[in-house]
Order: sequence, then structure tokens, then C-alpha cells
Amino acid sequence: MSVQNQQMDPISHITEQLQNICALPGVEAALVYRQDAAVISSLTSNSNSRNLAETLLWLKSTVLTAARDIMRSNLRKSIHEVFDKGVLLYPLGVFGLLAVIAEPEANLGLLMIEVRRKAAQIVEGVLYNDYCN
Amino acid sequence: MTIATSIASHRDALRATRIAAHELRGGLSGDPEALIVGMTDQWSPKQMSECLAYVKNELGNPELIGMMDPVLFVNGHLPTTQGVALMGWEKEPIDTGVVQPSLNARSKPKKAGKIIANEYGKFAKEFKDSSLVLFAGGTVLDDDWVDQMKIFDSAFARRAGWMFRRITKLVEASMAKKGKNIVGYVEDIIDQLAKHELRNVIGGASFQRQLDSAYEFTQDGVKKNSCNGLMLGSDEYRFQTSWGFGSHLYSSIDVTSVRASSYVSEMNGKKASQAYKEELGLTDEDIETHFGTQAFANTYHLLALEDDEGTMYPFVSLAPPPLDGVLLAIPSSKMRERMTLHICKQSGQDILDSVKPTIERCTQGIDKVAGAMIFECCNRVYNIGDKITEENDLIADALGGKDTPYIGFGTGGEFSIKPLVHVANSSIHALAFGK
Repeated sequence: MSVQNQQMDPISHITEQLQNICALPGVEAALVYRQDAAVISSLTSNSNSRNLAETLLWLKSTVLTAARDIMRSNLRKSIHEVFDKGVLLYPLGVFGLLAVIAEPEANLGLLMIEVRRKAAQIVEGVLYNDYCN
Repeated sequence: MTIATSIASHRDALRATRIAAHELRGGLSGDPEALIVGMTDQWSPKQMSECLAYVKNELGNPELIGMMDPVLFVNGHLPTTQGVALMGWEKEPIDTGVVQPSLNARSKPKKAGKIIANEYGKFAKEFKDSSLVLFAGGTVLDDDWVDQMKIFDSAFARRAGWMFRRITKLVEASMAKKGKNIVGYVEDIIDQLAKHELRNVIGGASFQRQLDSAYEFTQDGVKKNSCNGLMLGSDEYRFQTSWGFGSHLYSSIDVTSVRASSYVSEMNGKKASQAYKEELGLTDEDIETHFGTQAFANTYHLLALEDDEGTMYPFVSLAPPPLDGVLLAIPSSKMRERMTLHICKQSGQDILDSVKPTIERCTQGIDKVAGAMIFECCNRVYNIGDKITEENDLIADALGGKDTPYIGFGTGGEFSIKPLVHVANSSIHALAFGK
């Protein structure tokens, strides 16, 4: 385990990573879901975004199916365009799903690099068993 | 000789720096003699200064050089767009030195080039083999740069050609003094090095996505408009550079009139932006959607100059919808009133395919690679996104495994000494060293 993931309880660790993600340019919100679509932690950035509520609502209705698809098909990520926003879904091992909502102007290429890294850090810092049951 | 790399990501610059410095120290037996520092582009100069002060204090005040760029990567870790990357080494057989001309390299590139060439020339003579790694200031533009360029389409610019060009040169000189303009000035610096027949020179430019600042680092702290060089020399190790880019030929387009510097007013005998969009099958909406967030730089279609031997030199083009012309990132000294440019398409796969051959070329003749440095255009990274991790694996394979230390920058301009032109866009430039 790397230095950055030591000495932190899993929820604090997830929240810390979500804070990092929300500090990235163009990110409006970041959420961590359990496999059964229960929200473990969520955070929004300070942007006064239009349609964020609708996007979150869409995410709520979609995330269970998306999580199943990603797990079943062993997908590395899933990208959606909803109300002009980019929505990135990254699997967190067998534990859950990381969702990131980005502004239409966000550079998704660069965003994906860091979100993938943060997803790996969340997995690394969380004990699966705490949440799988 | 021990070389170590580390990378850390965090929204807080100082925290990321602490983690990276701690991990670097773990990979070394003592203080590093030289240190390359990379920071991503979202922090202020004050924050970066604090980080540099921390690093110097924590790692025994080594010789230090580096820059900010949107993406950083090192061996054995996932890349970051929100963090700090370090490469440090200790003891022989590589000797190091830093050359940092204390002038605005953007406005006085020839003078900066001469200073660097003299210093590096003297340094190189003391060793069997050597290399120079440059860290230069990248593109910085005003927020309304597209509106400012509308004057290029004016009746005055059309009718009073020579006078307009003179005025444009004066405006460019004034911009350079204020620390603005594109990275083409580096061509003049590298020209000076090439004239002195200095080899194994590579480097990259700092870059910030918003284009409103770009910073470089030296022992003295955070710099602006500078071009600093890390000189590496050894009697035991060999140094080798290479470059490459990935694309497949699509078609060609003729430049038929250049209004000023790198602003093309006509292509294929038509208004440049119209001919450009027709040839590439793009609409204004496509340009806004796909390239609007990256200063309208077209990262999918590269316009390439060809030399007598058939080698292509790729350049980025910009066709902001409000303008009638097209901006080319070709150095102004290489621009001609009439010339043919090849259009190359660059897919994500093309980018990945270009990595291994490029790295393998620079490791030829080196049995055991001790380390490497990579300067890769951030446009390539925009295109491949998180597939950069696959690219990282390809680099590691070509260098002999994940344990071979290297540091990489996703730059806003990358360069090395080449026959026709020295600065190319959307390319990857690598330096490898070893026995």
C-alpha cells in the first residue's frame, strides 16, 4: 500500500479521493456506489451547474444496470453523455462503482487519466469486506 | 549509480510533493545529486515555490530542474494530471550540470541558444558521451487571442501585405517581452545548438491548459519565459535520443498564401479555413465540439512537412471558426508562401503503435538501460486518455522492464535536433542512457 493510502478509515479514504476528484478542472460531482447501487459517499464541486440534479437523477436510475453490465462484461470503464455532461463510470474491483460527472467543456481525455488513478487508489485503500456484505 | 522515480497525486500541491519526496528518498541510499521535478498545471507559482523549497530542504539541496505540464508519468505507476513526479539520481557515472540563461528566452531566443550552446559545448568536451535536456517556456496567450487575430482577416492585412507583416513582427516581439506567444521560438535556440554540432539534445515545453501561464523550475525557484538545460555527461554511459509520431497518411493540402508568420490565408487557392474544413470533412460545430476545449488545436489531423528523404515532420493546425485563415504551428523560419503539407490522421491506436519503435530506436546499442526521459505532446494524451497506462507499459517493455526508471512529461511542445526542423508537434521524443 502506498504512503498516501495509509492510516485512514475506508470512508475517510473514499471521501478524500472524492475531494481530489472534485478539485480537478471540469468536474461537477463524484460518487461512489456499492454494487447494489447504494451510495457510499458523494461530493459536488462548487460549480453552479445547470442540469446537475437531472444528471444525478439519471445516474440513480441507471447505476444499478451500469454496475451489472460493467461487472458482468468486465468493462474497464463506461462513458455516457447526459444533458450535455460527460459521465464516467469506473469499476472499483468487486466492491462498487465510481461515477464522475463532468462539465460539457471538460477535457475527458485528461480527466479519464486521473479518475482511473483515483479509482485504483480507492480500491487500494478500502477493505472489500467492509462493504461487500 | 542509483536512479529513483516517484509520483504522487493529491489536490494539495504540498501534500503531493511530500508523498513524492518521501517515496523518492526510499528509492535512494542518500541525497540525490540531481533532481528533475514535474508538477501538474493547476497550481499557482506560490504553491509551486513552496513545493520546490520543501523538495530542496528535504532532499539535500540537489541540482534541480523541471517544469509544469498537464500530465506526468514515471515507471511502474499510473500517470497523474493532479500531482508531482520526481526523478533523482546519486553518484557516478553520470555527471550533471544545469545551464540557466538569465534572460527572457522567448524574446531573445538566439542569445539564449548561444549561452546554452557555449556552456553545453564546454561541458560535453569533458566526457566521452553527453546529452542536454531542455525545459522551455510553453505557449501563453491572452484569453481573447482569437478575437485579437481577427485583424489578420482585415482589409488592411490583405492590401498592405509587407507593412502588415512588419507590424505583426513588432507585435510578436512585444508579446514575447510580455511572456506570450507560441513555443516556436525554441526553434531558434535549437538552431544555435545544431550550428555548434551538439547532439543528443531533447526537451519539452511547459504548458498550462488555460494557456494563461507556463512555468519552469530551477534551483532558484519558479521561472517564467526561461529555457533551462540539464547537462548529463559520462565516460561509461552512452546517451541516445529518438523521436516519432503515429499517424496514417490521409491526403495533402497546398498552402497558397501566407499572410503573416504562421497565419495561412489561402489553401488550395481558396479561403484557408474553407479549404481546410472541406479537405478534412469538418464543420464549425465539429471544431467547436472536439477542439474548442484545447485552444482549437486539431489533434486528430496533423499537417506534416516532408524533407528530401521522405521524413514527415508533423504540426498542429488551428482553425477557430471566427477566423478566415488557419494557424499552423510550423516555425516561421520554415513557412513558405507556397508549400504542400501532408495531412496525417492520428488515431489512438496510431499513437500507441508509435511508442515502441521510438523507444527501441533510442535504446539501440545500449545493453542495459539505466534510465530514460520522455517528452510527449499533451495532444497525444488528450487523444488516448487513460490508455496512457497502456502506453506506459509499452515504454517500460521497450526500456527493459518496469524497474527501469524514467520520467515523462505531457508537454506543450517537444523537440530534439533533427535534419529539417527541430520542433515538431504531437510527437514523442525520448532520451535513454546506459552501458
